[in-house]
Amino acid sequence: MNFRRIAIELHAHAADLAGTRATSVDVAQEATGSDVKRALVERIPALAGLVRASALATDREYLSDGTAVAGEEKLHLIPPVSGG
Amino acid sequence: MSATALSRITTDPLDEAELRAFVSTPEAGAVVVFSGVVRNHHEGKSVARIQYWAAEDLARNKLRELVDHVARNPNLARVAAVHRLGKVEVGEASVIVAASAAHRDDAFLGARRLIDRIKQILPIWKHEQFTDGTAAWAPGFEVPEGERGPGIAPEVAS
Repeated sequence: MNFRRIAIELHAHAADLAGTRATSVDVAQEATGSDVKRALVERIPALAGLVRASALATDREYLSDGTAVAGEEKLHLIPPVSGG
Repeated sequence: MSATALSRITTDPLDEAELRAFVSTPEAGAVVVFSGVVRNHHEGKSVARIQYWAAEDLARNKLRELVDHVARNPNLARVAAVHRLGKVEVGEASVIVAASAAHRDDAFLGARRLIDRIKQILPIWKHEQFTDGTAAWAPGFEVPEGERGPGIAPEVAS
């Protein structure tokens, strides 16, 4: 099976829990957002609780968990937002 | 950005007068400007300042899409929204939105929609720094499932 590496940027409380602002996951070519989240929790178990409440996003848009992510080199994990 | 909408994410202090001037047009009989200001308390604790963090490229793109989306309302003349990042002291504005229209109901509604959606979808986080030296991330809102896709979701009931 072909795997591809996707860089993940962590923000706010997710970065604090993980102890880093940048990590990466290796996922299958046909991987969806859910697969990325699963791989991220395997890599950083401290994120397990927060990932469920977080969205994945590119620099342009949020992604649903069912979206195929094979074309993406970098994704953001967006925990609950508190702007304003 | 269209000629009738302004958006900006910046570490510079925000300027209410700039937004008021941008949305003021001869046909607009109503101008609403709302400022969200850092207050000195949160859930019983004394707040010294708030540091705002963002996924900046995504925040810029979503804010631009949001103001363009709201500006498409034909009853509005112009709309504007700016959000500050970095350290914001008590009494300083962290966000300002403005909307103008022929009549006040539309201007109030436009400004309300801007600020409500900003709080719901912009990838920005408050890190509250308290006067006792402690700090904490503010509890936030999960980005709604309906916003997870291209563009801005249709208006939700508010």
